[in-house]
Formats: sequence, structure tokens, C-alpha cells
Amino acid sequence: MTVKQLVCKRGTWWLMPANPAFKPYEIRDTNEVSIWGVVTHVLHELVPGKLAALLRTRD
Amino acid sequence: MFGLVDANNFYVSCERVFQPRYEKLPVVVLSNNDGNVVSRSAEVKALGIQMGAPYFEVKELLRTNNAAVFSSNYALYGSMSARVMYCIAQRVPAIEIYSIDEAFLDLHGLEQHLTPYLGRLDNLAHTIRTDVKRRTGIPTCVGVAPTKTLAKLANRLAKKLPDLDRVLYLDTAERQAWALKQVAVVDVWGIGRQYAAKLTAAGIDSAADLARVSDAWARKHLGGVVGARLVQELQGRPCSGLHPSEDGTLSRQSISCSRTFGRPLTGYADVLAAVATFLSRAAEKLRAQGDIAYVLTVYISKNRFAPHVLPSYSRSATLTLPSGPTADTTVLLSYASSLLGRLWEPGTTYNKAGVVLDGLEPPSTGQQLSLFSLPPTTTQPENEREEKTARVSRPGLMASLDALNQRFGRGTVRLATALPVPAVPAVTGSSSRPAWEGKAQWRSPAFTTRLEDLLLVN
Repeated sequence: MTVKQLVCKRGTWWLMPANPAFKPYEIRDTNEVSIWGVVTHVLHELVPGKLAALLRTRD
Repeated sequence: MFGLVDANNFYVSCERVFQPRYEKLPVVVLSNNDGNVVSRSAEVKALGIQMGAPYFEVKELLRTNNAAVFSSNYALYGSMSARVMYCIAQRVPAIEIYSIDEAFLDLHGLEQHLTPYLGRLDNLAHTIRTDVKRRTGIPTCVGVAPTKTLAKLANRLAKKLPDLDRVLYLDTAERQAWALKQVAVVDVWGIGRQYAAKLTAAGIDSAADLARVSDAWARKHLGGVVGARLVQELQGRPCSGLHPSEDGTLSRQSISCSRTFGRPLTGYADVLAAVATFLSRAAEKLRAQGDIAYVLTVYISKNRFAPHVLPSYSRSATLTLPSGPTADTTVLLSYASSLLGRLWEPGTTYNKAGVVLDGLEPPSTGQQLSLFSLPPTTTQPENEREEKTARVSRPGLMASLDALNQRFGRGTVRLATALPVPAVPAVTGSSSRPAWEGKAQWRSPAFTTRLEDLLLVN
């Protein structure tokens, strides 16, 4: 799973990454991708390291 | 009109929502203790694996077909079910949650009102399907018909026949007659195997045949008025409306909690810990519905399939609480442990235990006061020993216990008796799992109910 911006350019649809290290992905076959959901909220960590520590405990 | 929304292979669908790579692959979900197959994807059904098949029998077939196998994850399914029901309830006047993955819809009067705005009832059914799929990721089928029995039948056909596009609306008499012809009598809601055999012997093979029998015949051969109602419902005359359901309108008459152990147990303390855990859970449910219980049953079972095990395989003991009805776990546990002591046969291997709370009633609704018990506003017992024997209910303590477990997760605060007995390190290693807890080797994370299990996108 990945988070990308869905963009339409001149009739073709693209998945645009925010990370410049990744390339945009052109959606040619709609069966190949499925949109799982829309990002509506982002959690911010106010005490640095707390969330990371919590997530580390899962393994 | 009634509707029935039913999720397609619900447990498998729940797993697929959070792990989309299993879409189009064969997937099964196993029962508690990884015993039997309880949910099968369409691909697994195509392999000919039956519902309830023991896992060890189909293990090879599943492996050779690259099937994904999951242990049941009821935390996930319960929470997904609540989401699905919430979506459905927003669209219709009333629903009855019939099971974890099915809900009846009350659509009375909507036939006319919908027409100018939303079209026919089958359009509404499609809207509900798309809405549930979009908001929860769970695929469903919808049947709409004049009675609950016919709605159930319509739902079945919507599932079986791909041409129907997952929705079947039995609005006209012709459509109902057609649908009845498609369904075997054994698949009618309320007809079990016994009745099906009896009906087939009488020359009644399809639901259409059953809908034609006379009222008197149904009364005589199908268990009296229940059978007569069933036939009337098939004919399109509604005999039952929505019942109170799990969405908070239902109050249970009895509460039980039981499990098969992960491995057979011989130690009294281990079995007592299991009983204490089941009792805590049952008492928690009892308090959640605001009742107190009068009758307590404890039972333990041996493995009847193991060699050299003699009957009786299962023993139970029931007690009408001498100190009056209660919802206090500590009071209930003191009785449960004495009941367990009565059932216990030393040197026996047990593989299952359970508790049942009966005689449920809300507090202060005219309970019979005990002739010998002290009046409730008696002076505090003088010392701890006396308090223990007096078996006083402490509602405040229980409320705090429930609040803590609600806030910090189930099992945060437990009775000491319910804790697993510390294992001898040399024998079992450093396993902190209780000995009675079932096997769940392939359980997926509780994506929706535990912060640590939240799905991460990297």
C-alpha cells in the first residue's frame, strides 16, 4: 500500500508521489490499481519518538 | 417489504479489506483453536471444500492451491460488522441485526415514497450495497421481498445467480413464484435437515411445493403454528416483523462463555484460571446489559475422541445463588470455584470449560428477598475474613473494573485467579500465554481496534 496524489493530465490519470525519489505512475489499466481510501486525517507526534516507540513494540 | 443484507463470505472479506493482496486468491478463515473452516472465499468454494470442514483434512489441498489461511480474528470482524451495520442503518427506517454479517431491513411504506426521488426499492438496495462497499470495503448481497422468509430466499438467489447483479427484488407474484421454484426445500429459512427429509419423502422438493401446502398440513407436519407461519411467509403474507437485535435493543435471557482449550489441561489451577476468565467475561456482559444473575452453571468436558477416556464426557453443576442475584465477578467466582471443585476428577484431562449465567433480571425489580440473608444495609463486616465469607456485591468496584478495561483494553485489570499459572521454566519455556488459550497461529492484526496494529503505509 502507498499514499499518492491522484492527478488527471490531458485525459490520462497519474499517481503522483510526494517523494522526489519516486517516479509518477501512469494508470493505463484500471484493474491494476485499486483506490483503497482517501487520506482525510494525519496524526502528528507532539512528543517526538513516542509514536515510533509504540510502533516498534509491535514486533 | 423487508430486505436482507448479507455480507459475502464475511470473515474472508474482512481479512481482504486490510490485505488486498489476497483479492482473487483462495482464502479461508478457521474457527477458534484453528479447528475447522468457517469462512471460504469463492475460490475455495470452487475447490470443493465444504463449510465446517476440519482443517487437517483440507490442509494439503489448500497448500497445493496456494491458499491463504487465517485464524479467526473476532476483534476485527466485530468491529467491521459494526461499521457495516452503521452504514445500513443510516439508509433505512429500522434494521434488525440478525447475525454478525446479516441484517433485516424494515422497508414498509417506502415502495411509494421512494419512487419520485430514488426510484424503486431495488435502486435503494443497490445504493446500500455500493455505500457499504465504498465505506467499509465489504461486499454484500441484498434480497427484498414482502416477508422476511422471502427476503432471505431472495438474498440466497442474489448470491448464487451472478446474472442478478447481487440484488433481487421480489415485487410481483410472478417473480416470487419464479424464485420459489429455484430454491430446494432444505435451503428455506427455518427448514432443517430433519424436516427436509420428511418433506422430500412427502414429495415436496422445492420452496414452491412447500408454499402450496395447506395450513392444516403445515400445522400437523411442520411443528404446529411455527410451520404454518413459515408457509404463509413463503406465500407472501408477513407473519413476523423485526425483532430486537444486538444493536442495544436486545437483552439476553442468558449469557454463556466457553472455549475449547488450546491444549488438554490436567492441573486444577489451570482449569480454574480458565473458568475464572470465562466467568469474568460473562459477568462483564451481564453488567453491560445492566442485569444481575440468579443462577450459575459451570461445566467441564473431556476429549471424547481421545483413547481411554471414559464417560461421562461432560459434567456440569448448577447453583441458585444462595446470597441472592448479583453481577459481581468476585461473588460469582467464589461460587464458581466451589462448583468446579464438585465437578473435578483428579487425574483427568480436560479440554473444554464454560460458564452460563441464567435468571437474568434488572436490579431492584421486586426480587425475592432471602429469608436468611442479612438486610442489604447491614454494617460493614469487621475484618477481611468475614467480608470474604459474607460475599457482598460491590457495584462500585465492578464499575471501576469495567471502566478500566474499557479504557485500557480488555484484561487490563483481572482477578488474580484468572491469571495464567506460572509455568515451570524448564518445561515450557517462557510462554506467557495462558495454557487454556486456543491456538491461533495465523491471526491477522486487529487493524481497527488496537493502536499498535494500525495499518502502516510506508
